[in-house]
Amino acid sequence: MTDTWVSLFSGGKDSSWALYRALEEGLDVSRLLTVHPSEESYMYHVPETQLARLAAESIGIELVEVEPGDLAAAEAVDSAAQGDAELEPLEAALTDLAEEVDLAGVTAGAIESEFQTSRIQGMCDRLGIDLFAPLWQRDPDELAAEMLEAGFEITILQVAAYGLDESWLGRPLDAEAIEELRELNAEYGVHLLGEGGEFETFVTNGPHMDRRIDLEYDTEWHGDSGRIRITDARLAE
Amino acid sequence: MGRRKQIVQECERLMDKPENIRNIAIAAHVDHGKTTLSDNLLAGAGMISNETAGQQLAMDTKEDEQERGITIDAANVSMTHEYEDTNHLINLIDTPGHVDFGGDVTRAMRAVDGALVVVDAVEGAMPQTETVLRQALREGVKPALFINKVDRLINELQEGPEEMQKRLLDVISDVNDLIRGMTEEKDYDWTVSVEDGTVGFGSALYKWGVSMPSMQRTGIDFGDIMELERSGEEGRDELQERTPLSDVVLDMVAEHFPNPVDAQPRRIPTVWRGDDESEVAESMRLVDEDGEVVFMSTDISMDPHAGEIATGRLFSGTIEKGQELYVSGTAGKNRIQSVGIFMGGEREEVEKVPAGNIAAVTGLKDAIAGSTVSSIEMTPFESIEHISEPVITKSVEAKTMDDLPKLIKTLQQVAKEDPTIRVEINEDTGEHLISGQGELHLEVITHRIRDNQGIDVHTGEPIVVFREQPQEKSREVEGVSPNNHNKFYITAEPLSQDIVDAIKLGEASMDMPELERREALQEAGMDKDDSQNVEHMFKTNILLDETKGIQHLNETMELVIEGLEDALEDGPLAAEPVQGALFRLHDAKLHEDTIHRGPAQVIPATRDAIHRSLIDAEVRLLEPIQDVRIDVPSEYMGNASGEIQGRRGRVDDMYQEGDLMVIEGIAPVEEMIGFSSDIRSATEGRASWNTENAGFRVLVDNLQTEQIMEIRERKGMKLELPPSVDYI
Repeated sequence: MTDTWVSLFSGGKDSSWALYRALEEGLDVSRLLTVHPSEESYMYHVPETQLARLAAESIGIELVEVEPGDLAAAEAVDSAAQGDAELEPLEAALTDLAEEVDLAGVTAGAIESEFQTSRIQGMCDRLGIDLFAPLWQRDPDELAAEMLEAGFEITILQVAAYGLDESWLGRPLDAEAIEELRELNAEYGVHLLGEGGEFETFVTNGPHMDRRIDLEYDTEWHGDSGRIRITDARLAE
Repeated sequence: MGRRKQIVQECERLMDKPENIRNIAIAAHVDHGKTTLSDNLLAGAGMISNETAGQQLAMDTKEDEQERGITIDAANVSMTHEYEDTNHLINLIDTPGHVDFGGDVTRAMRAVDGALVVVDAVEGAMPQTETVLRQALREGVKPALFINKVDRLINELQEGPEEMQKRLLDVISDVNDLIRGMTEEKDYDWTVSVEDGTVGFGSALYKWGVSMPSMQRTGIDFGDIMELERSGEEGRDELQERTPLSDVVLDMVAEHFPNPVDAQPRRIPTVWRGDDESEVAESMRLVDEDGEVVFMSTDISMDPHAGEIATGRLFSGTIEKGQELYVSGTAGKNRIQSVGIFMGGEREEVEKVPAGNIAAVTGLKDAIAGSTVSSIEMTPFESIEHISEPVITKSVEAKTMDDLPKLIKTLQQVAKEDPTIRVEINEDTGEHLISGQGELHLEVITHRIRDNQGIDVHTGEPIVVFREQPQEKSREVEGVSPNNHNKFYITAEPLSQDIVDAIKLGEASMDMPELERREALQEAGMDKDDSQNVEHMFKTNILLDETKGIQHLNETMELVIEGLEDALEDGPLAAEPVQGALFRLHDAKLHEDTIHRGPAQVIPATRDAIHRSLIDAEVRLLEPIQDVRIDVPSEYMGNASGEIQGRRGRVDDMYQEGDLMVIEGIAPVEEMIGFSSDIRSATEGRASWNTENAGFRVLVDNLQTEQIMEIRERKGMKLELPPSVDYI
């Protein structure tokens, strides 16, 4: 096999968009790679990563799952050291994969996080592969418009930012929601696409997927933040 | 040419001679006769007919003022007076005496150099006599005394010469005690005395007056006065003829009040903190009409034809139409549309007004009462902080949607004109809030919205404004950002009253150079290290940064401060403002990546930490209280003191004064709502009473929860107390 790409994939809108752009560019993405952290993480997209399995099924690309166990981020005091420690299982998984396939590079959905991007770039350099990050430093407004234009259907799973209340949990990230976020951005500085962990999403349908994913859930709310608990998820008939 | 036109021309001629100008205010306790006295002066200067002075109340120009018989805004007038063969230009401001309008008095004092304090001979020095004296002396304004209503001593109280003399001397000595107490640290003696001619006596109602110099000049002494006053109308007419009040008072003004050239070198350092070596400082001291324009607006009013009029004192330069001037606190310049002087409620346009005068100009659209307006960018004048904060709030709602934009505009105008009013505009609910100094204050404002602007409004019941304050030192608490990646460690504790007072009086603020602020705080009793750690001050609260070398904290501090201010605007108990609290930032953990420590993370984390620290510091609700004084015939004393005690109040003192009993005490503002009609019926209208805002006091423990819940319910907040903190 030649020139195989791996998509660092969570099922959220950013990693899905990176994957979609890669496929559009004609890159041969043969694996989706998901890390399931069990607790709070500084690096990864946390909630409901198990949904990645359903997404992978709908997309039709093989999923590789990494379960490093408790990353102990909740106890962490130094974000830099923690970020490095979290990268290890990912790098190990990619190293294993590189033995199986001819690894050309990875796709990643970082937009503005220097923290994520510099670490992933460093890892790619060590592995001697390329990084495809089509969202990097793009204007969030334009990105949002492109995602909706392409037909991405996005659900908000988790919010953690001043100004985002319980009503945002489970809400579709559509044009109306973007408009409201724009106002919240002006008022509280909430990031339009939730960078910095302000909200997390899941893509339930898109041009790269065969079947829509239906979700049923409950909501949980604590102080300033909350998340949905998926009670049932299945591919639509 | 009309008489009025002549006066305007004479005023214009005199404006260029600062030595001949006197800028004065008349100030007194409510009903002691300021406005009647002002009218006498106007009549004396030929501006209103002599017959109507005393009834006309020309200075009470707004309908509601004439209806209520009290002065609400400070009103301005210019007049001329010849004294010792020299004509003088007298710019006069009449000020309100009612406690609710104290802010107007403070602002008026900035514009003038002399204050004629009027005291009722029967009532003597009253609480607001003290307040207006303090306001004058703090601004470096020289006082003189006029004892009014002397006719009542003669006719009503039937006092003999000795009794009368004793009573008048007592009033003088009381006033001098006050002046002495307030000028202890000054190197001048501003006490008043009959011998110097800084005390006048008379009756503004019957338009006669005397002073030592006038007695020497006219030969009329107290014996003559008693005789003439007792002989009825004819005698009074003769008194008025031979020793008219206006001459006596205006002579006193010309002789004893400083002109701008004398006053400004002394006043500038009191009211302006700029560089005293600078050119502009020099031209203010010299009252230089060729210098840069420096104007301080002390009053903004609305004229249906001319629009917004800014009245104030011109300290330097010459102000004229077409000038482009800076307005402090705003970007860009405003263009002067017209320049004028006030002639009793009406503005007369003139070509230009030179330094040392009180001018009324249009075109300063960005100016508010208290703005510094100048031809060069400069340090603004000290803000004219009125000491008392708003204590009572009322909601105002337009009855019809069509009036909504007009109502908002009117409310914004109201806030601009009177900085002691706070206006909160809520375009979502349409229910706007105005806060002011008392029930009457708000009543007058809503009256103006209704009658002058013709806007039909619903108003809510008056609501008292509360405060929240920590009572002890908290433990260290943690505030976490929603994404969990940023943490702040903070403690709260109460600030000492001395430091709070220093902040309130503007002695320590973030606007001043750091060194000066440190010294001021240390002087008020703050620890030296603490004074060096001051990171921010918000209202009467202080944030200290005690962290060392935390990466990214500097660039994050702006957000921390935003979170702090947010948390202090809406305290943890009932979202009422927090006061008198000291916060120490001990430590912070910040995510290395900017995107993870944006405003939506840091602001709530700080807000959270501040609220938790306050809760652990035993934060309590504070309510505004008032000093209450009731003068009442002794047979009603029980009923009257019952009115204080029945209102969760406390009677501190009862004593005889003349034929009346005086009751002094304190009571919460909330309970004082409706007091005026209750005390009237309890004493069959025989009591005269007076209240003065006296700050905030911790609400008694057994009412805390109930009150907090009541406020929370009103504000649509959750009906549960904030949970106590999980300590770290």
